[in-house]
Amino acid sequence: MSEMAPARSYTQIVATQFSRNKLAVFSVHIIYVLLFVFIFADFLANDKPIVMHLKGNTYFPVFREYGVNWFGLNWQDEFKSQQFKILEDDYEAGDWAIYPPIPYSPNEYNLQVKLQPPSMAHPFGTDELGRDVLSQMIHGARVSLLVGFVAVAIYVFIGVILGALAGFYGGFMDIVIQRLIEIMITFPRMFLIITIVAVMETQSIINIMVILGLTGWTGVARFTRAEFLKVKNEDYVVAAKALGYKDFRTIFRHVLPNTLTPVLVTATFGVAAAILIESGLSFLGFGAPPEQATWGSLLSSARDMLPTGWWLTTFPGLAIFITVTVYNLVGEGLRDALDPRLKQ
Amino acid sequence: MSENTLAEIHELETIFTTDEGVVKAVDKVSFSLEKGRTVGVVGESGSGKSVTSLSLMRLIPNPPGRIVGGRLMYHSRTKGLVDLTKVSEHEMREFRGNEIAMIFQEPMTSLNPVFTCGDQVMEALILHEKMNKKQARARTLELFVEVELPRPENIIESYPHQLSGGQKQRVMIAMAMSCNPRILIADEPTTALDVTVQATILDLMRKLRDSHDMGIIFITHDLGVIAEIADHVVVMYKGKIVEQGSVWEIFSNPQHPYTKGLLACRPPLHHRLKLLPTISDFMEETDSGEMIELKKSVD
Repeated sequence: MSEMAPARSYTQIVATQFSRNKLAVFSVHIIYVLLFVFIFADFLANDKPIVMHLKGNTYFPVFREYGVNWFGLNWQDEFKSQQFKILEDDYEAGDWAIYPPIPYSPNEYNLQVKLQPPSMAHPFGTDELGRDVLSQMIHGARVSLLVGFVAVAIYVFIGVILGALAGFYGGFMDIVIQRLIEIMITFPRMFLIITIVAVMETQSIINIMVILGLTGWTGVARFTRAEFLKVKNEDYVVAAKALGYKDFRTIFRHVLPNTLTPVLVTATFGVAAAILIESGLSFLGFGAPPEQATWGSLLSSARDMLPTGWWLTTFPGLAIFITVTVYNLVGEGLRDALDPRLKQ
Repeated sequence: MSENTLAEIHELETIFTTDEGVVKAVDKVSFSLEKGRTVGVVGESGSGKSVTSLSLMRLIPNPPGRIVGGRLMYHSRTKGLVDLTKVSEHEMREFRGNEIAMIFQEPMTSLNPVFTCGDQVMEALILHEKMNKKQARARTLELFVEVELPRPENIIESYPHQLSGGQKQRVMIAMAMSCNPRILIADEPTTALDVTVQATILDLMRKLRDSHDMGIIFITHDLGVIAEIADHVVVMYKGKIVEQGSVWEIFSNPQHPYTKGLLACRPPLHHRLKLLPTISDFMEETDSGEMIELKKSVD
């Protein structure tokens, strides 16, 4: 070996493999778009201007809104009990405002434009209260994606720890954790979730995330356990023990990184599943509270309008379909890229 | 125990509990190891060589394995004479790596594939020698030079799959040597390597043994390697020691039928055999477990 190839880590090899799957790469880009919408929802659809020039002063109402909601600031006196669009009526020369691309809030109703089909002003139409569907969808994307990520993060965390303990220590610990997994699996998940939600006093999206997280960890735990059984007898794990490392270090630093790949794939599929379950719950009315628009609740409230307002169901439905599909495609792409047998 | 004795294994018994019953993997095994000397443990697969060494490290997977008898007297650097079967798991962890280190048969699998070689050696130094990152890196480079790795600055950044088997074994040895162990247990360290690389690794181990005054327990089934490196030879069969003595005694004047059989099985260099002999050609085991030598010539 005269010349050494530049160090290519496992991650880089997988990245190369993944980039060959065009559909998965395309899906990743759609996820980027969704993430963009997730982060900048308030700047994409809002009834408040981003920048505003009024009577010689410049204001940033969208930023101010964050301050009001999160940091206990107050609206400037000029804007108290005033809607920004009404302020427009007494603009003087030199006053102007730049609104977000969709200048409507999800809960801003206007009965004059109720049940309008898609138009330039309302690209995805309006609902029976005159609310803009696209604005509701943009803010609903926040809820859906957040549920997906947080629920999966919770159950991957629980599943990995329990699976790791069961696989690494075996014996009594393994028996207890395996029985726990089996007990969890015997409950039909949807009914368990609906029951818990029904018992809860307040409806909130955080409850949904936690419940999805607490009920979904069994698959991850089983995968992790199986991988641990495979890896824990590898020489490098015995070597780590022979170097006197503590169990905690051996488990989480030496074994875990070698077992994460199947977990990563299940987690990606899990995000899609969680989004779907949240939509289902919201559709049934068990999900987010009524004032919070989610894709599922949009579908639910649009159900009665089906004959007249096709746009009310089509667009939120498509959003769910596309999001779930891209996550599944990315999951599949990852699974194939991580499969050593497919390596050329 | 004399001044130079590092460890004395006395009547060690290790069992495995399986569904079919209790298997005595190591049965009343005794031998001792001295500073700067190499004890070679030979025997066929399943004879209990590896279990003996894992017992010394207290790394027998439990369940199903357990040390049930005997003493593992060890002359430690910090705590004086201790019986390793009696110390707590916490104390044992202090000895592992620091005082007793181990290298393995498959260099391909004994390094963690997700970390660079440098990271793995540095981790041991940071944990045991309480070095900071910079010191650890400098020491790792020194160790790589000591184990005669070419281009240490490159190897420190490389992942295990980028190295050859011999290089990986050298990294493994560097890792084992990182905390200046007093005993190095080598579990078939050269079996997976080709002969020329084997010779250089054996050479390196001998050098390290002499410069650090370590004791080496060398496990192998390769009699050629044993003749090369060991001072004292322990022959194991079915968990028992059938014969032990100096390398000279064992090779020139084997006493036990099994040892004789083992030696006779080596293929001759100068003529071809139609069928390679096995130990059962030279030895017969009676129902009572006694071994009888069969007089047979190999042609």
